[in-house]
Amino acid sequence: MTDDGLAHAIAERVRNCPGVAALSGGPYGTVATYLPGARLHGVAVRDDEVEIAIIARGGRPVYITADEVRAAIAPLVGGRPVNVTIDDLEDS
Amino acid sequence: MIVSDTMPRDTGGSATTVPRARTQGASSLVTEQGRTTIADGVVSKIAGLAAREVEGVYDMGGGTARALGAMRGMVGGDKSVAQGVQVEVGERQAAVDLDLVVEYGAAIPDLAGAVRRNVIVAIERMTGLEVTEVNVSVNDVHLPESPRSREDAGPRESRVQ
Repeated sequence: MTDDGLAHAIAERVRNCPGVAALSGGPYGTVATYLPGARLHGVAVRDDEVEIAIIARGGRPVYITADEVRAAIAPLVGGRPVNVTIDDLEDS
Repeated sequence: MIVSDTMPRDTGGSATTVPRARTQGASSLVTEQGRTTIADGVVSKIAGLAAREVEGVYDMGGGTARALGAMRGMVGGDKSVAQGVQVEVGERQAAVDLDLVVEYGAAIPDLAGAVRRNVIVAIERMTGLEVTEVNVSVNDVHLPESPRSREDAGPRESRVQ
């Protein structure tokens, strides 16, 4: 899979996690994959890590949501650590 | 009026000790599979909601924050739940400062203790961060509307015909 395809696949799986309200740009909008003509916010695939930034849903522990995200994309990242940033809580 | 009530948790007496909300250890945020980072705004929102839940808390924020909040309300903005909350968030721990306006008639030390407990439990349950301290500062007392002031505000009937 190309890097672009990988980023999109990761984004798709993260969005489908029940505790995730949306992907987010992270602090200063720095968590992003830069693609031709578009910027995919909330996923950064690097050589030594994968960084994810999300807006979590309220009403459930956010560290469980983070673990869910990590488990959901673990098959795609090939053993790289997945660092998850909870950027905000969705207003309930 | 400012009443400051500060109690770092590790020096708390047995009566005010807060039960540990989590038993799996603070390390659940930093694992070999990756780190979980929680933004300040997340902790502020949780702390603000948890503090407001406690009966006897009328409002939150200092005078300026409340005035700005009221102005924002006038122009149609939503009131921020994080008003009156300052947090410091590290990798495994968080510290919280709260500004409260309490209802007249509340026992402030008891209320502060209840707010502190609720905020600590909420943050530890929801984020997995260990809360090192919650400093509560009571900025104002909300007085009930007295019958006399209500009478003054109402339209007065003429005494003569």
